[in-house]
Amino acid sequence: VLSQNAFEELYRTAARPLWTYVYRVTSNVADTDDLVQDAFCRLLQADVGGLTAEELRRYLFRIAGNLMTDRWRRFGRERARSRDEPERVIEPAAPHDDVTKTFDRLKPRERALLWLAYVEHETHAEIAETLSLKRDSVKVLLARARARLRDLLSEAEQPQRK
Amino acid sequence: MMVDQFPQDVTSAEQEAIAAFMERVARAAVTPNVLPPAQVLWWKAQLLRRWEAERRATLPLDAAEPLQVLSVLTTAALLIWVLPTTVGVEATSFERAFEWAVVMLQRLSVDLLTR
Repeated sequence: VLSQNAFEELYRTAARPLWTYVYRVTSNVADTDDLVQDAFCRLLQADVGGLTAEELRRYLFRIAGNLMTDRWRRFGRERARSRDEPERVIEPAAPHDDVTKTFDRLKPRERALLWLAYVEHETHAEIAETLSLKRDSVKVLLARARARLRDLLSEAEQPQRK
Repeated sequence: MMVDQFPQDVTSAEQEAIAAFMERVARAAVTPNVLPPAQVLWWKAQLLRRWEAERRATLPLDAAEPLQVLSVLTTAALLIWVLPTTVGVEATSFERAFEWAVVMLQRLSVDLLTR
């Protein structure tokens, strides 16, 4: 279990990057606030003795990833149960620019993969650990995410050329 | 950028475009207005841990409750069955009383269900 000082140091360095990562994947401020708090609370309840600061940070991202997956599954089940109800509206924290709009068109898992690869600079092995996937699956999924982003980027460029 | 991030499925120009786009996404990232202080989360986690410990401690008691009810009912049924022969009272009178109680319970449940 983490000491209070170690936790405060981790929180100081990891809270904002974690919040940004979760927000980029969920596109919802309220969900992000909940998930980030929940992730830190779960980390504090876990047996993490002996982990380095970098390992703790990755573990934290992994917890957040699992929480997001749980939430999507639950949300999917709820939506399947009540198909007549209108879909939940995702409110952006700030007016969406073109970059954000394009990024939001990707699937949540694709956003998570690209964010971890390109912003957090994680290796395939680290991404696999963070997202609880097999390393080979990460290669395939990341390639698909890149291909999809490439298509979206070329789609976004086409109207400008016209 | 890690070397093993570069795929073979997109051209190098596309790789650069994707990397540049992701840089823009990262720069455009919104930051939270106010993050709760670390101490708040620390104490919240302590509370959650304590509640979880209490829940685990009382779990056997919760599980034992239906068993208690079952054992009381079994004992009562056994007493009704055995008592007439032990105290030397005619079994038929106890059986009648038992049947009457069952009928009354049935009526009561039907009444409750149809209400």
